[in-house]
Amino acid sequence: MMNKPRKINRPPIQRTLTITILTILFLTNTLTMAYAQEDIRLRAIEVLQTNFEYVKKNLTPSYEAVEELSGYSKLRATALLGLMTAYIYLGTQLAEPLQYLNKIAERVNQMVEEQSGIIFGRWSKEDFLKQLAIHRVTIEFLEAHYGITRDERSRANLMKLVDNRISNLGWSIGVSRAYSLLSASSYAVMLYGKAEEPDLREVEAEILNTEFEKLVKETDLFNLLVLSYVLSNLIRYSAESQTFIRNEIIVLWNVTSFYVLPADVGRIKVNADVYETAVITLGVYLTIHEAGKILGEEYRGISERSLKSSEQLAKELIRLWRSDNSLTRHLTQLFTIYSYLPTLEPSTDIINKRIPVYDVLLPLLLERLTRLTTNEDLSRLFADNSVFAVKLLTSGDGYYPIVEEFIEGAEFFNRFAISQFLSLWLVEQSKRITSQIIPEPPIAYYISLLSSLIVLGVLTLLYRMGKLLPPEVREEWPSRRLDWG
Amino acid sequence: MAQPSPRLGLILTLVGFIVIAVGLAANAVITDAIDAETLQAQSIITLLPLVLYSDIGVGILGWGIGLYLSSLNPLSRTYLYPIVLGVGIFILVQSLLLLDTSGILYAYVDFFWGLQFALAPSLITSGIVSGVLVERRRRLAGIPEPSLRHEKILVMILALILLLYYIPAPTIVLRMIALILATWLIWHFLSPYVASVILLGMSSKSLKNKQSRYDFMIVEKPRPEPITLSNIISRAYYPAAFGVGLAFTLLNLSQYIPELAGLFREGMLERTADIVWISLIIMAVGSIYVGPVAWIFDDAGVRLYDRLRRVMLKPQLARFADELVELYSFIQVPLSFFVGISIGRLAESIFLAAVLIYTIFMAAFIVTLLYALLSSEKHLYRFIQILHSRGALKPPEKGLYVGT
Repeated sequence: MMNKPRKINRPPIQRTLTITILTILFLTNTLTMAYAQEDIRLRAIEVLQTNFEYVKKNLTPSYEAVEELSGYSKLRATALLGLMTAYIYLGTQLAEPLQYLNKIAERVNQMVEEQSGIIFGRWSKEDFLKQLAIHRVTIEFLEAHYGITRDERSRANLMKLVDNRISNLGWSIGVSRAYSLLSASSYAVMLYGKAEEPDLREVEAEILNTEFEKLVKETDLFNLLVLSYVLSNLIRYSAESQTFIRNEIIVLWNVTSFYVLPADVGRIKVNADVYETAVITLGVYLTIHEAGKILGEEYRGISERSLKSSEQLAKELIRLWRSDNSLTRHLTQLFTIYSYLPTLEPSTDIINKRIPVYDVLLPLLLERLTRLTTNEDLSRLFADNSVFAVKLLTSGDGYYPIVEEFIEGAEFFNRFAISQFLSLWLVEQSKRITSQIIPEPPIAYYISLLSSLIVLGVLTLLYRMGKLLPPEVREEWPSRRLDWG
Repeated sequence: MAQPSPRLGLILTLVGFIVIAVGLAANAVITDAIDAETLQAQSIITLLPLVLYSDIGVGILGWGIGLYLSSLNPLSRTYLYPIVLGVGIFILVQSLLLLDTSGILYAYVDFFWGLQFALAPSLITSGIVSGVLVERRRRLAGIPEPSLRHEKILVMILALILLLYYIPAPTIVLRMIALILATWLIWHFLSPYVASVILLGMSSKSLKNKQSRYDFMIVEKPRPEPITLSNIISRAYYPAAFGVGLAFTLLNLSQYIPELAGLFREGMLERTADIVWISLIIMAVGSIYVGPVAWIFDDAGVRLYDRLRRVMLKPQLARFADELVELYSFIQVPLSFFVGISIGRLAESIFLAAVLIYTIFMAAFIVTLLYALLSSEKHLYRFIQILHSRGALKPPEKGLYVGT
């Protein structure tokens, strides 16, 4: 009969055992999976902290870089240490790196304002490479500081440096104010989920006020990639900050995406020569995809094509990037990284040399792709590779030979690149973990709810064990009734 | 063992009110005394009043009210009141907050969350605990099961409240009602026939075959199960578990059979939604076997007398289905849910699983109630009529047949 407890006699011991064992297996499996994820995150944070110790060791009491690290420019070395601190703060979100970041920014701003080691106006031919490196690094540092702290002084100096660089190099989208402001916004979006609206408006105005020919630069492919990246990011950050996106921007984005995306996804093939460009292209495709997703149904074609191209490109790149249980070095021009080698004295023949390096941008993009792709097998492949990279790079104590040691300034560069990678990876990863619904916590501790659940759980357990209720006595009713009455 | 007493209930209610008052007063004092800047730093001090007045206080209040209501008349099961009240409050607050698109109610969010996450669970738990205490005592004393006078109405109200959860999305409610009606119609028109076919076989030849070994007889008075909350819940469990189990089996199979893969979309949310709909459809189409047929066998008191072994048997098939459903719900579903849908994302899977179970169980609950209200009595009569007309029933020996 239905109204008595469903099992009066206990379930057979074998079945109870099977259920218990399966439950335990399942629980341990889930927990170890969760724990393994958490463990690798903790390890990454640990490595970041080790590298923060390295930064502290290399700072003087007045928050400048020490002499040994400075090379030809104290400003650049200080800005580099600051940039590393900014990344460490992004990954760990601890108070101490933030304090250091502010102190270093104060010193850097002071140096820029005093014009110590920095040339405003025309750069001579001898100074060109040095000034380019100083500008590049200082601009990146000020972007980070402004993005993280909304400090107006940093913004003013940032704009001053950007304008100075434009006057020497000529305007292109990659060195524009728009690019710098968007980079700063990216920090704000990562940390606070929204960018400053005036900045986005300024980016928009700069792009729309520039002549189209200048913008696309005679359809130079690399320039188009950068333009597409900037437009996509503008759309993304505007959506994240819930501000208005102008139609002209969307039209421009549509056109550039059309140029940038490949017509036939199946024919994407990559060889070692174009490895670096391919990685950058992958980053651009992903950004286009995210922007397309935001713009909705109307641009579904673009967003799908960019995702498919990214998946294909990523598969090709993984083949070149990894060989079994180690990474493969690829050749890069020293020019692309010499700004981050603080003690290297640049000259034209040195920076044209090609040197082997490990690529740490690809795993970052793979982590992002894991979140975006809808194909489960690919998602697993990408996640595996991204985690593999993190495991490998955190195996040493905050140090891994990304460039070989005989190159001057290699130690700093290796630590710097690892910090950058790990912090951005941590941000991406937590985005992936929380990318779906998480109900917001209503009351602080749910004390009533939890205690109720515990009581109900215990009751259920007792019920299943058959200890909660005695069996119904129905047949004996008439005689009992007399006794009881 | 102790019973819920009205005095304890009233004392707890009073204590609850005092705790709430203390919390509110402390909150007022602290907000006055500390300015906004230091508020951040001293989070524990500022959180404590909030916890007092929106969590602990309301929780104690809930226990007080629950125990008081349960003790009104323990033997006629008044402990059902706080349970239904708790479920009702939880669901009504939820749909109220979802309906309020203007966000006016969010100004009083402490109050509503207190109702939803402190008062409702405490009411439900206090009702269940009192119910256990009362039932224990009753069974030990050997008193037969009493019923609440208007329990039928209470169950109907509960069914309506359960449906209210989806009111913010009217299309879902309409689809839900359509599927529920479809399920009930199938049950209503087919159950007695399916039951008789399962018991006797399709043709008269198969009946003869069975009769060569078994005598079919009725040993208890055919009597539909009374409509009580616990009966409806325990009956609704079977069709729900059947639907969910089969849907998850399909999900697992879809990894190996490409034709099935189109059934489920990608993404956790979409996949969960698909599983819900497919479960409901499966429940409509297939649960007649584990649902009404089993209940007809149970209620009609039909037995098979095995002449060879000289034993009286209950109809076997329902027993087999019982095992099947148990297997599904205890092993298959949780495993597939975590492996097939969420790949180890614990918090989200628990949340989605709760929604999934709620939705399917709600549908099963309403269908079962409809069946019990509108069909079950007629079906018993029809079933026995069919058995008679096919000449299967053998009058039992004296003393075995109870009443007519």
